[in-house]
Amino acid sequence: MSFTSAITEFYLSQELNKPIIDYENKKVAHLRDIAVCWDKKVPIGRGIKFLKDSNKLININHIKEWTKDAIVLATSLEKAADIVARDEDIYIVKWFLDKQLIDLKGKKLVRVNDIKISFYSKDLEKKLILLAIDVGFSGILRRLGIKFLESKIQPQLISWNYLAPIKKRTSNLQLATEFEGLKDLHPADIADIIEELSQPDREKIIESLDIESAAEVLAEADIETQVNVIDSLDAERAADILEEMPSDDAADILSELDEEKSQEILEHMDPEEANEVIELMNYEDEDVGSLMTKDYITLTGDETSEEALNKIKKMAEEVETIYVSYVVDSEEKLIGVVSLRELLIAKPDEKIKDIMQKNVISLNHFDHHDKALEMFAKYNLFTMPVIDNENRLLGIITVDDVLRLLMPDRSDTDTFSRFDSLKKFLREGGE
Amino acid sequence: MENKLSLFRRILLFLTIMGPGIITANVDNDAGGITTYSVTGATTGYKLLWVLIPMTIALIVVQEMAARMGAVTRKGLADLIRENFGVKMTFLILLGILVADFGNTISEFAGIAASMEIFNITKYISVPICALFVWWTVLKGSYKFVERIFLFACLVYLCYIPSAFMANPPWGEVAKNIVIPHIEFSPSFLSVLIGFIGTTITPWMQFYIQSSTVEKGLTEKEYKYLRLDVITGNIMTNVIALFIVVSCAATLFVHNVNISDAKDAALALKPFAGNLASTLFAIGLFNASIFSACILPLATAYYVCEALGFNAGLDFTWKEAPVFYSLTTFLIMVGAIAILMPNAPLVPIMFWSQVINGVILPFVLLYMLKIINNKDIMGEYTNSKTFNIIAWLTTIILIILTLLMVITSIFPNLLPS
Repeated sequence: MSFTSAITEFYLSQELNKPIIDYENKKVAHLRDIAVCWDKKVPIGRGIKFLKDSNKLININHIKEWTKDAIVLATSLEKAADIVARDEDIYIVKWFLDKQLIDLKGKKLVRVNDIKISFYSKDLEKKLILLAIDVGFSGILRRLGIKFLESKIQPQLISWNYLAPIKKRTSNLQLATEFEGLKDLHPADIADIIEELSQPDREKIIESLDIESAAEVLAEADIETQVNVIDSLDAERAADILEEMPSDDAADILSELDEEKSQEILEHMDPEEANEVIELMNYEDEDVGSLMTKDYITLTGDETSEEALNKIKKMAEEVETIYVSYVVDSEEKLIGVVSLRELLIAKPDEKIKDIMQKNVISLNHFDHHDKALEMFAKYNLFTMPVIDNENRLLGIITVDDVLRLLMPDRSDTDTFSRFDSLKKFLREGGE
Repeated sequence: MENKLSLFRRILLFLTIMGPGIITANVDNDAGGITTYSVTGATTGYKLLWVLIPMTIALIVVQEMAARMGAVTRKGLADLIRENFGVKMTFLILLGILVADFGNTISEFAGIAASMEIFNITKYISVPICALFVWWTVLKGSYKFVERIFLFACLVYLCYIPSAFMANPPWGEVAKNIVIPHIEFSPSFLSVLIGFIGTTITPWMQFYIQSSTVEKGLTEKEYKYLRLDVITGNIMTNVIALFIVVSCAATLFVHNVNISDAKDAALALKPFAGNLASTLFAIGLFNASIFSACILPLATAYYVCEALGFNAGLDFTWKEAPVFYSLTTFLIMVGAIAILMPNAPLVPIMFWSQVINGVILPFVLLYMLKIINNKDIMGEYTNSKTFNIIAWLTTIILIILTLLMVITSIFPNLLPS
């Protein structure tokens, strides 16, 4: 193998304005920016921008070598600059340096202090690859040219495999991207990230998610972010997302919006869902009713356990819990509960009314939520039915609804969620 | 549940949002500010009162822009400058602010020392105790607790009002001077005017109000309340400034008493306005100094770390944000120690910090205007045409005045006194 191959690695900050030399050893230009294409995990260089207002780029393939002092072309500049900038090119100085990217590993936003690049040449095959970004202080020192300190600090590199853009930009229009990388994050992590973003960036990310994921992400965000996002969407999409969310969350969000907007969204919602939400919106904040959801499994008591299990299978996707089914009579009155465990051990032909528990621990929809907290703790339950004064089943509440009360979005030591403090204000009449 | 915001809810909403604007505006009346107002009152009487109205407008315009940028972008000013103008410029500006704020912190501790000396408490007792108190409040208190203390401190400023009434000024003349501009082209008059405006509007405030807007989680939705917060804060601040000028003008100017700082002013008030007025004046100075000594180091550490990518904010632990906490601690402790050193070069330090402020301000204002008119960043929240005219006018006038201040302080002979 007589092939010569060489790999050079360098930092972008050190390459800016580097002279470009043609095959006759003449200085012909300077490096202004690098255009890359980022449709795979790692951005690949397409060309080098050397003129301010030209759409011509130097083709990476025409670079002979990348030395410490110059970029050497294999031909003349005219011949080397044989590609034209495309809309989907990303200019890394313009759009990455000093901007924020999403770090999928650390699950947070990071700021790009510098970019580590590798140039690989093997005969006629040349590749320019963005390897990593430097988010550490060393990157800043390198940018400022404070060399003697820089060598003392380890660069904090994040490999490009773990990065995702906040928004995909092109030179003249901005497109929502697929956010491939974001898909692998837990909705709660995505929620944390969008909480930190500005309004337009949030919208972009929410728009790029399908309805279900958007609902999942939004359910994990704090109330201000939820309100802010729903407010910014058109009524139809907002309605679709809210339908996917637990009805109590949807009610919380809608009651924070102005009346017109929430009416409009409710009109776009499925009537049944909308009615549930409206019902929940009528509760005071501290009522158990405001925490309950309407997505649960009801049985009549006349089914066999096999039929009940089949019903659970059918509905499992859309209900809050499958572990408990609620048995109601023809007037919607709660007469018993049956757990999944009981159904599984029962003989397939046993009737539900013979295996269900008739003494149901339940809450009244006007109970204070502190009472819910107490009951959950006392009886070690995960869910509890909520009934009205006539014993009609209105909804269920789950333990995570009350957990959230114990753990407000942001603790006292942190900054505070405006809505939390406002609600407390209103609740306690001042302080 | 009532969906429409009733008036009562609106007021409550304002109260929960209140903070950034009012606190930022009041920090402006720090030890240096109070000194300037006292000296202005004592040397020019009521002649410069009219400046307060345009100054209030200028402050409101500039701070409103910073608060709006914070609400819309959810990023600090340092972040925005860095994203749009590169790391070198940001670094220089922050370095300048760091040095200037360090000088300002020292002057706050000087204010603490001076005001306590009025009550016969030596600086060797007052300064260490206050430094520890400041440090503990800022680093150990929760954000909510700190903000409450700050808002309370804003109320203490009101003690300048009775102090002014005790000086018994001719209110008719005061009112006339507030609305009728008066300008002389004498060097001494101009230098007081320049100092008056130069100490009032400083670069770090824009960073602070923008960061605290972001930290408070305010978005464009609460924006009109935020605007109200900024307006209230600045009007209040300048009303206080008015009373400080008036109480010195009615006593010291009338009787030709020369003073060089706020402590002199408090002591000189005694024979003319009585013991209580003098005491209130001193309490005001103490409050202003300690209040600004709390905020300055914290704010400085906050945006320096923010811009350089270190964790910053009181919601991080010491372990998570070591640079932020050590920088804050450093500023407080060294500021206090500088006052206690027998022959520390205090005058040059404060002088240069004022000059640096003056040099940085034009850049900060111009960058702010560039960013806030960028549709890609601000969307529909860019400046309106009218607002832009006011903002540009404000900026140009401020730049001219601060440059004059810088030039005259470096070359004092330009204005023959």
